[in-house]
Amino acid sequence: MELEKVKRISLKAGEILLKNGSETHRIEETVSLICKAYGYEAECASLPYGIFIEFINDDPEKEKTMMKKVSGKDFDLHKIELVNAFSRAICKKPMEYEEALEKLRIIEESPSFSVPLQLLAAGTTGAVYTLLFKGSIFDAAVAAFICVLVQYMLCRTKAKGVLQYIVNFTAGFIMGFLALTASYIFPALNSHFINTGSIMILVPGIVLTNGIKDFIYGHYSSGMGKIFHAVLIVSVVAVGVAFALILYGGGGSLQ
Amino acid sequence: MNTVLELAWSALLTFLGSCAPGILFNINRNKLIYAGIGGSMGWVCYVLIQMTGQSVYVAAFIGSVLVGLYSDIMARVKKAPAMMFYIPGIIPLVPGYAAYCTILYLIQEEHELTKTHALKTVGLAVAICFGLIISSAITLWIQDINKKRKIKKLKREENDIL
Repeated sequence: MELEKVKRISLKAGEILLKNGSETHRIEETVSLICKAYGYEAECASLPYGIFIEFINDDPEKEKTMMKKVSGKDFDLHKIELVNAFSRAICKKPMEYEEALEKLRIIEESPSFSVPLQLLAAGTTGAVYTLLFKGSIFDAAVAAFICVLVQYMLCRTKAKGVLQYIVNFTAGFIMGFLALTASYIFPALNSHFINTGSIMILVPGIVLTNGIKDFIYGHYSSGMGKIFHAVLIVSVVAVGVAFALILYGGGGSLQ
Repeated sequence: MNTVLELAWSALLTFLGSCAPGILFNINRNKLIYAGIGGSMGWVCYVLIQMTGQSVYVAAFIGSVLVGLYSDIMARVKKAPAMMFYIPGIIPLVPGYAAYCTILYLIQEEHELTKTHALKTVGLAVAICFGLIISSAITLWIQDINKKRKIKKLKREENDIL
């Protein structure tokens, strides 16, 4: 197959991986493995905002470097798994150009869980962690309700492309405000347990853990970017909750 | 008996608490259960080690090592990226409560308590992070040994042919 076509397949696969928050070493390995499967030796370097690929050839005239800029983030682990399976399949038996592109297109459009199921999952997360932190069953119910609301907001704003930090700040504020209001109206509820439980849906799990993994494999620039991104998200949520607490005069003692 | 029941209850809770964020991260349906098992394994280990009188940090460290190793094993078994198992699995260990206490005491201007909880949050985060590092170091080491063994085997076969 021509180099241009191989380039397009491998960069497309790399782009999907980078967009969905994969570890850097996985992106680089996948891209160079796909090229190798088609008989080209290639090196790949992935940065947080783009992928570089270098086709190695003994003839300096034929050596080529390409890059692809990737913008936008949308965390979806299922797509990463599908690309992983795709590169496995290609290593076993190289596909035709059209077939490979079609498969990648299907992967890119693969559906995520439906919105009601996501809301249910968010509600469960909030309730479960409220119970785990020794909250009562009523606290858990309120936390579930708050999480469903916030997850609905997250789903709606995701499509509109609002700045992520603003979204997270608002989410934290709404959580704190609703929890404190609920415990103000019903004094039997403990707003602190509700808050700790419902905050768990805003934990930036993918960015944080993959940032650590990037560091382990020596990709310091993407690792630093990811970890700092996670720290910023956490602090923005914290500020949101803090605003709600200030509004209610400190939130009362913990017990 | 009571502690056993409590442990089983929290294991069930963390199982759900790893599956549900798994749905939010859009993990494949038939792998959600394994992600949940990883999460509750890490949590049970965390609680058990705390029961033996060790500090929270040691418990979180060993819990995250366990989650990391489990996810690497499951990645081989299920032929899926390891991150599908360790990202939901690590969530129960995240120091959400300590982090919340930090904000709360900061607002109430209880600076001594803020310091305590902020240090606890950072300590737990570092412990979890170091646990992941150690577990992937172990995996890389085992992979390296396997690779070397394969190369040796190939060389031996070549020598036999010659």
